[in-house]
Amino acid sequence: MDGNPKHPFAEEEKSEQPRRYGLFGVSSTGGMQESQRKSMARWATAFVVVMAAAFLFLVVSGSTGAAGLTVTFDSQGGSEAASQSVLYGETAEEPEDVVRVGYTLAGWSLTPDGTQLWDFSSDTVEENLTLYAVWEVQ
Amino acid sequence: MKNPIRSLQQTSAHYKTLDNKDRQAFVMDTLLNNAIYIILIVFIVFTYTQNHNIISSSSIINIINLTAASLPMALGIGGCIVLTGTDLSAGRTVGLTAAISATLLQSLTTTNKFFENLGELPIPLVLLAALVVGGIVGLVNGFFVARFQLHPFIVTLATQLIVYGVCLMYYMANGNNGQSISGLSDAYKNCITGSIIGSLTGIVIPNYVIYAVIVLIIMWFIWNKTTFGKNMFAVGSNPEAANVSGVNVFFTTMMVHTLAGVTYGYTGFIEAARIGSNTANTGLNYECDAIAACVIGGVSFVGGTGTIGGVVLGVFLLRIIFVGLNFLSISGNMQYIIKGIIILLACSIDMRKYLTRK
Repeated sequence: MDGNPKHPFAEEEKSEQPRRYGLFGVSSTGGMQESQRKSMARWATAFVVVMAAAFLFLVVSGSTGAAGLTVTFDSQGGSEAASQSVLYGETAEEPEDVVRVGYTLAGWSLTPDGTQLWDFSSDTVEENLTLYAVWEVQ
Repeated sequence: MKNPIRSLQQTSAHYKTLDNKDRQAFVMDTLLNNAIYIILIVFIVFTYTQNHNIISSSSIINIINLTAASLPMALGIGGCIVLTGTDLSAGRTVGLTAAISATLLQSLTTTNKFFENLGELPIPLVLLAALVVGGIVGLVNGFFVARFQLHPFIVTLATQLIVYGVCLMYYMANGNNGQSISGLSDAYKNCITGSIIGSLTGIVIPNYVIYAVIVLIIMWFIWNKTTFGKNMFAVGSNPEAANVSGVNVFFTTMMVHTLAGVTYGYTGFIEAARIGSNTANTGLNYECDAIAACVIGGVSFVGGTGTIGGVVLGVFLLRIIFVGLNFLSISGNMQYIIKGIIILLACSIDMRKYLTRK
């Protein structure tokens, strides 16, 4: 085994240049003129600056625009509760003054049927969610 | 390992010998070459001002865990990138080996057990099976790349499809009909996600972090201290020259891909327990993150350059960015765009370094 078989379609006369296969087969940077190299380096520099700026811009605008995840409250027949905007990994605050005639509030749940109660002191918000009021007849 | 203080002294001595114009160019070069680290620091400071939780102990442990989970795979792909190649089959191979590990190590009491009459297998045996399956995929990749000088991009694209097909058929087998595979045995789960450090010190760092460190040490040894590692860099920077100097290019290329395959097998074995409930989509797009991490960490697509330390840093930085984006509550759609920009930035820096190298 000679270790490095020639590609069947390789052109013999080009083989004195270092063979580089980048993403597009033989890379254009292999036998480059000095002027080409300089102009390409300038393009690369410009790209570094533009991409860095774009990254920072998107992060800042994305975070201030979104201002967190939304926790919506569905009071299921009671008085309205305002939705809250909560940062990832933080807890939501229990809405105050949600009342319904003839009922007492037993808590808030992830499901409309009240099976998965939400603990405002320990449960952290990791996605947009809706909490449903759980009512008990007085 | 370079001594950081010594190299800093050398840099400052070099800086003093320059005239004004060269000094300006030197500062610009340094800033541009380290642009990714600079914007990362800015990013972390900004994230901290918006949400203090990012520098809490639980968040830092989370970042370390996620880094450990994706590190071995990035180390494997790093080798392929040093050879100016890439590997697209990584994610699907992880999916297949995860499926194999999970089915072989289901708990005996699970309903819907995949292999109904299978007793409890020793965990190292299953690890070995995962490594061998991953290694075979890598071997096939390596053989086609080395023997026919095909570009790894197209070879691994093909094997990726084949592996995915096999994986889907595996999930359909034994009357499983594509359901997710869960109910793993306790011994297996404890082995991977249990925490020996936690029981000793109270800091709950899962065991797979320790395993990742062991893999890291092995890979560092292979890259830096073995003939094979040196040959890999020689082939990566110039295969013809390496061939003339007596390096077996065929063998080296094949072994780099096989080694990469073995790391995917390992990742699959870990991921099966880490995720707990595996479907055919386990491992989807893992290779994208791993390749991005390598490029960010300075493993050049031009070939022949890259360090283990760089890969670790790349994986770590990428994880910080992903976690940070969550802490900023940036929408998932926007996160994809930002990830893409980070990769373009890393590529531009890489290309710039290569073009201005004298």
